[in-house]
Amino acid sequence: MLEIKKASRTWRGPAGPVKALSEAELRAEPGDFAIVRGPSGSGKTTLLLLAGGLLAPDEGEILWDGKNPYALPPGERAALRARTVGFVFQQFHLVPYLTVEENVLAPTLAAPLPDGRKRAARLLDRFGLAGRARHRPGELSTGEKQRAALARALLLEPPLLLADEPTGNLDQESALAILEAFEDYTRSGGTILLVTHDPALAPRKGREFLLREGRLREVSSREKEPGPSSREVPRTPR
Amino acid sequence: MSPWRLVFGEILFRKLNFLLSVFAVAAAAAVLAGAVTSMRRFDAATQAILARKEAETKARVKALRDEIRARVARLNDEMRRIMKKMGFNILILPEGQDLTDYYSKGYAAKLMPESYVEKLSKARIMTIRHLMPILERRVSWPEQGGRTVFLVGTRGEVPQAWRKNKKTPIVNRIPEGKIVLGYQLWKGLRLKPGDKVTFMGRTYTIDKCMEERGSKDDITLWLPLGEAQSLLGLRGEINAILALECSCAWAQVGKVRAEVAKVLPGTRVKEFRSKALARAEARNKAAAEGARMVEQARREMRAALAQEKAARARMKQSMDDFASILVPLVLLASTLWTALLAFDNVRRRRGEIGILRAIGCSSGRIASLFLARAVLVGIAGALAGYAAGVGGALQFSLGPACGPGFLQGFLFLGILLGAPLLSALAGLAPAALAARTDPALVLREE
Ligand SMILES: Nc1ncnc2c1ncn2[C@@H]1O[C@H](COP(=O)(O)OP(=O)(O)OP(=O)(O)O)[C@@H](O)[C@H]1O
Ligand SMILES: [Mg+2]
Repeated sequence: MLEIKKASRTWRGPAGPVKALSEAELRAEPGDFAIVRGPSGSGKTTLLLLAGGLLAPDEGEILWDGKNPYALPPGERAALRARTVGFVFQQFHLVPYLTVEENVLAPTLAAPLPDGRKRAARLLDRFGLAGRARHRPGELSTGEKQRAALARALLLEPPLLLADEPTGNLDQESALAILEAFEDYTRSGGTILLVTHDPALAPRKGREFLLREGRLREVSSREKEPGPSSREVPRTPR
Repeated sequence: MSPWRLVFGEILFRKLNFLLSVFAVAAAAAVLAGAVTSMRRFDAATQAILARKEAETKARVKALRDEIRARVARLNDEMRRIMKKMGFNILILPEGQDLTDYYSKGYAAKLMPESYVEKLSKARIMTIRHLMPILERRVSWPEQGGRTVFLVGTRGEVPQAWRKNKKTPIVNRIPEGKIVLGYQLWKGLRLKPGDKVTFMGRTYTIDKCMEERGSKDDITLWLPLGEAQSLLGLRGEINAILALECSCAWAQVGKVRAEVAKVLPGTRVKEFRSKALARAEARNKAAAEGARMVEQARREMRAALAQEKAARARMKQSMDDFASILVPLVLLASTLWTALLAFDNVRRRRGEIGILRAIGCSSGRIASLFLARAVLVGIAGALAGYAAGVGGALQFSLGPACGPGFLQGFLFLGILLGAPLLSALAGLAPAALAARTDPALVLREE
């Protein structure tokens, strides 16, 4: 369970302070698919980094299952993050010199996993990358890269998945595959916080938030899954 | 997955940066290893050269000394042979003769019986021979206006009856009625052998005119002993016995003296300055000269050796000076270059750092990845640099091939430990930068 309580964050650069987030409130239970929409520069990424334990809020607090990661010393926070949060970025951030399999196994650097290879193989198989395990990220298509990044995020089966514009670089079909994988994840009890500027990207079931100039508000909650005929397909972004 | 997989994977992925870093460290290691090896070889060569020269010097001095010793020994042998033939002369003077008086007058004032010479000739003294009794006085020659002359009465050699092979006498007796004149006397009076001359009222026929000797002999008249005794009114008296060419070594004069003293107690035995003595002195002088030559040669060679030593030391000093500038300079440049490359590596890996932090790696783990890479750079640089430096020094070093070879334990260990230390030191700031890289900033970047 993720709780964001009255969290504010101001970026202080040489050109003056920018209030990226002010008094954001959000609560996501296991199985929740929270999607935050907002225009560019509205503070989406800032919110995600805050929620992921990578950026401490100036005010307010973040709680993972009631525990504030920023209250922990950096080493412990990193260890807790490894087991609690999975990240998916628009840029994938795969390590270029590791194979696909090794990239998927990278979280074991922080949190040892005895059957890591077996799990990695299962994830690769599930995301249609079984034949690409020994390849390097540079040899993959963008869709394959994002699936590999998703496999990495899911390796340690974290209760929370944070996604920043995960389909931003993908074609419709790949985007749909990622979206479906996310939905699978929430069905199995995971919590997702996804930020995007794409109004078309929408899960069958989820809670929608709007972020404008650092202010977050919940706009709707789709409790019931719509029929397959009305399934929205995300448009190609940009 | 092991963190080493990341380290090695990255090295293989960004070979250029790694190779350039290794090259920088290797250059420093090579300069150090090369300098140390060159110095050691130079020192070894110096030692070898100096040892060889020293041995040469010793050998030459020894050869010279041996040669001189051999010559002196030959001279000695010759000397002994000559002296054996020649012997030396002794003069036996009467009992109680004052030597100062003898020297100032030119003859002994005291007298001893003529029978002494018979006594001596019968005594078996091996070392003396050619015994000659002498009566000598300074007198005025009345027929020649009273001029001062020396009168020597001698009866020639007294044979030593006990000797088996009698020596031919070296001084012939003067026949009765004959006289022998010194150079000044016959020259001044325009006399020649066969002429008659009157001395102290008696007339004699000239038997012999002596060559110039440059001594009192030149104003001496020689007469048979009996004639002189009768002229001087000293019948049966003599004042010296001359033993000519004694056969023993000159150094044994003490022994002769003792032997004579046994036969003629109270007499005084004087050594005449002889050719043998002069030769012995010459020989001693030659030996001393030889020793001096050896000493001189030794000194000269020592000086040459010292000069060589100083020249080598000067060369070594300039090598030291050069190395003491070059080595730190290269070390510094290498450290800076390695550090710059490490900074570049960190800059290029910001995204990687961001994601590793996001998936839970601590900043310490990130720093250790970079430090491990720096240590690997150091080890590779140490191996390559050691091989290149020592190999190069061995290949291009001048002088005799001696001194350390390719494997120098302490140098190798020092470089194998030092280079990674240097590289890690250079990588410290970049690693700290990597550790401090904020993932929130990196992950926001496109
Ligand atoms: N390091 C920073 N220093 C100063 N200002 C920053 C910094 N990072 C972000 N900002 C500012 O904070 C605001 C929010 O940035 P953020 O990246 O969260 O927006 P975003 O909604 O993710 O935009 P996008 O959709 O373009 O990714 C922006 O106005 C941005 O200029
Ligand atoms: Mg963003």
